[in-house]
Amino acid sequence: MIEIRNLKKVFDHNVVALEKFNLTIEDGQFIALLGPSGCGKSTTLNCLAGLLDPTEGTVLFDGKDVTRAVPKDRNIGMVFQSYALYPHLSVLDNIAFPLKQKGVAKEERYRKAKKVADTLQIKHLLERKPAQLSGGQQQRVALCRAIVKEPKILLLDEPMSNLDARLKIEIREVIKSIQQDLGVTAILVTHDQEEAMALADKIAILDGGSIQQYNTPDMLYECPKNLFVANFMGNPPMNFFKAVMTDKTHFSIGGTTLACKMELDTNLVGQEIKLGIRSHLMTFAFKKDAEHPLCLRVRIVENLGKELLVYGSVGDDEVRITYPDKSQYQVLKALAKEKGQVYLDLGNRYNVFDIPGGRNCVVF
Amino acid sequence: MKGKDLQGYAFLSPFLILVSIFYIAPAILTIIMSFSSLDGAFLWEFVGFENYGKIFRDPNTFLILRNTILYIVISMAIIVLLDLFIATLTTYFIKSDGWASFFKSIIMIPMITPSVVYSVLWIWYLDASDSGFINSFIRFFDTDFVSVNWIAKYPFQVIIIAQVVVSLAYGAIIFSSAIRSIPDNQFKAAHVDGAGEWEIVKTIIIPNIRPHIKFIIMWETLGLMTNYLNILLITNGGPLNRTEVWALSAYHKAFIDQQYGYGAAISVLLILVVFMIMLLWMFASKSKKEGEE
Amino acid sequence: MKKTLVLLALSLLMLYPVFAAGANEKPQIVAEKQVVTLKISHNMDFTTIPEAVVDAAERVNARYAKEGKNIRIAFEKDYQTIDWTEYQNNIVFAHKIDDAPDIFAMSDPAGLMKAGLLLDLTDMVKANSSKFVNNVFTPVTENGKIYAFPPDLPVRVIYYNRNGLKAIGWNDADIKALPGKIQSGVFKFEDFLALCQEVVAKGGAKYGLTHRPGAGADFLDILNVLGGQYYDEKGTLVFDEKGLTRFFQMTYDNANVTKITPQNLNQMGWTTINTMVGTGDSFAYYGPIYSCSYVASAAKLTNEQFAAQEEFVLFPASKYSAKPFVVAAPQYIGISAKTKYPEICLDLFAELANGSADLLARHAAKINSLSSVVAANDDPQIAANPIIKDIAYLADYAITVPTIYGIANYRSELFKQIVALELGQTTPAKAVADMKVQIQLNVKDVIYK
Repeated sequence: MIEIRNLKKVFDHNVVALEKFNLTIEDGQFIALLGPSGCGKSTTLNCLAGLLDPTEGTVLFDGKDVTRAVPKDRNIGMVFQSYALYPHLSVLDNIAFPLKQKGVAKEERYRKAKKVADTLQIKHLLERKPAQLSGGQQQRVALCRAIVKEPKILLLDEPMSNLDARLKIEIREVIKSIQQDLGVTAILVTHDQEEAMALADKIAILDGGSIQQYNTPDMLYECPKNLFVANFMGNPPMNFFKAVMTDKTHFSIGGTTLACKMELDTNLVGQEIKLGIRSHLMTFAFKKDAEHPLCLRVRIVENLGKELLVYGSVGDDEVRITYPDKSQYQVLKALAKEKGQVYLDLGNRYNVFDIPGGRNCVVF
Repeated sequence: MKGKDLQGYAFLSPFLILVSIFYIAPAILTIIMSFSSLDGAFLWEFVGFENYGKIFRDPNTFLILRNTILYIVISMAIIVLLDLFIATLTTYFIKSDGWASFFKSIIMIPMITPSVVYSVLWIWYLDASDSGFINSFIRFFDTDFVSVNWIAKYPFQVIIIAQVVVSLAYGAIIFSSAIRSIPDNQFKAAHVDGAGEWEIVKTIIIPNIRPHIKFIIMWETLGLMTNYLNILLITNGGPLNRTEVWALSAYHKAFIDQQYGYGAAISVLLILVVFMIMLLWMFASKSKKEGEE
Repeated sequence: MKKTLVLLALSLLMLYPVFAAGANEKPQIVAEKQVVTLKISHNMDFTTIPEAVVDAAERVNARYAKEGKNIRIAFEKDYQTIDWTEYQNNIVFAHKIDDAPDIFAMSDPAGLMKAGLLLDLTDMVKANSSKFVNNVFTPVTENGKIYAFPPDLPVRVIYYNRNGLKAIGWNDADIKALPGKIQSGVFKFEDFLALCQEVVAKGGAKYGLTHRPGAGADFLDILNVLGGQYYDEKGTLVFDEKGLTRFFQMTYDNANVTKITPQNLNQMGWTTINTMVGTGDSFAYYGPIYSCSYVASAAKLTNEQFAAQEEFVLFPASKYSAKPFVVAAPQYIGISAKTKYPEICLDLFAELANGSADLLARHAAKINSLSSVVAANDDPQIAANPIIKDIAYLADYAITVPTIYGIANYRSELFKQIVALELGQTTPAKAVADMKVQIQLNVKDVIYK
């Protein structure tokens, strides 16, 4: 079990990258540290690896304090965005390198290296030098090198960022299968929420050096704790509507009063709020009625193949909404051309964020 | 297309003319001179290969050759090793930029000191009398110390040390920037893999800067072969040819003994050797490239 | 546009003086007199030599005026202070581009003679033969023809400091008698070396015997003392193995056995050595007489003070050579074979030997040397010089050395071995063998014995 307690990291010129950072990771779990650039995810990973010394706080591996321990004493394997292979060593020597540092005899370490290479299907590349491999092959070698010493923890620092779309998926599968087969604790740093959702058992979303929410991908998707998480997760992104709570059970969006279908945990009467609704959870009708009171000005229509995606605006808010009936494509297109209107039903499931805090006040 | 070529040549021509006058023409003249007996009277008399024959018949030639080879090999080995050491120390081990720059500035000082000043300083340090700097320094610790005539007793060591100190800065700075450009992630990966500091030097730093090391080896070798200024000023090839190197002997024969033809022949042989080394070098790097492909 | 004009005007203004000055350089016809401008070149310190020529020209001009000749001699002076080899090379080069000086100094007459760059002076010398001291033209005579003019007659001698003798307990009478003993052959070279040893042993001086720190002719004198031959009557270089062995043995012993010569003498500079000799740290020294002005100034003494303390003597006789001697080695000047005014230049030299002998005396007195012209030696300027007064008798024992082809190589190789011998890094036998090989390799027509 990995425990990070009150981790604080300050860089030169008083740049605070992490502060009061707490995280607990169970053995065998695949955790993603997700967030935009500068949120502190790589810093956390480097502190875990021992490549950075934290300013304050502790890191515990199975109850043992490893905060000041050097990387080689932490029993970790690490994969980097730029592969970081040793350019003058053969693939075999690259993979066997960690074992060589541990003093393992040549025969033994080559045997283990070959076995691992076989698992990742690069056995035929063992005699080559890194410069002679493609990006995907190099990353496989890097993975082999990371796991050959059978570490307890596997650290992955944006390993797929340098790969093209097709390779990304390929390596994603490789990483997932390794982690499952070896049962090793894996921590992935990424800015790609799709990747995090596909791979991780739990995701920690970071912003500005602190954890916004730490939960399963589904929970993050369905029950985001705040605006940041809600905005970050999901593709297409969540739609946000500016509104004001008129009374305990009603809110008004640009003048139109609607009933609030969700239970709130605070009294927000009279306050500004933001509604967050997924694209596929709303519907619209071409004519206004009691069910479809909100006016949407249509701008663009896209045919996604399995459904239509309509872009429009409600007041100042940009909205994207999916529409399953493809037969209405031409109608909607004509509507879009003349900036016509349709009428929204906000659906039965949405989030209510208080302003300015951005906290999700819905009781799920 | 042709017009553009002409334009290119036109722009190059001043430079080409200068190079021809100051490099190519004297080189050709030297070769011609080597077949003559040009001396202080400056009368051209062609004597064929007599000068070359003289070189081979002179018993000192072997000594000079041996001196030259030893001087080059030992100096170069020390220079490259020390350069690596200094570069690694100031770029990798010493994290503080300020101290690193300080050390690098210090080793640059001999390089930018004019050779005459530098050599005079060495002569002054090594002065054989009791008031000589090194002699009195040692006497400070060992009062029974008898003053040593350093330049006369250890001339070979002196010229090697003098040349090494001057040559350090160039390679150190080149290696330093080479080390700096090694991607940081390789070091991180090595640390995670459990490599110790010495292992990192062996496995990451040196292989990554191998082309730079090769360059410095070649550069220093060429320089050591042809630059005799410090030796001339400190020991003048002496005592009795113990530090006479090939290039210096050409100078001595030509300008001190006034045997210009003979000196020219010695120079021509040196240029031939340099030329051959360059060809070998080009051949070696080319075939290596082909091998890698 | 305005700026360009102003700049143009300014540059023209600045260039005008350059042209104006240049214009004055052209030979002018001044009131029917033709001005002949001779280029006179010299190197290093003894500018009294070319100045003697220049001042002699004034007298020649006066004579011409009286004789009605409408020629006036003027000079373009070029006095340098560079390495002698470089200076002589420059003279050779200047000849090749027809821009040679008319009168110049030289360090190696033989080289210039071989290159055919010196004007034949034989007729002028024969016409004035009685005016010159004997044998002063020997070093510059080839096939009976004379090619250079000796403005002085400096001798190479042994110096020693009288204070050193006082310090070891000699009384004044003995000190005074020593030169005479050397002259008569009673006090030999071996005795002299022993004396040096005694002076050092008894604390009279730090070193016994020092010499120049570079290749030169001085060592050939010691070789001569030890009966070594280096030339024959025809001027051919001789390689005398036995003589050289004796000389090398002495060199080795002086530095390593008797220790009267410091081992690292050759690594010391001129200044250090001059000071040592001047202050008496070195009891004895051998070299040209004109070195004493450098020695005196290095020790911050006047000529008189130095003369009071130092004695200059003949090279003594030894077991191997019967007669004491000094070598007279004038610093020759010559006329370019390509000069446009050979008659005038010869006239100048003739004037120096005749009416202008006092100018040569002025030079000789300056460098503490005798003159090559008889009349100059009787000149009061020389008589007034305290050092020359003492050494006048040496002239009777002076020998001159002819031009020897290859002597430069010989001297250079000799010095290389001397350096190594004094440092104890070679043996006399090996030194002789090594030197022989080098001479065989580099010098043609050598007699080996």
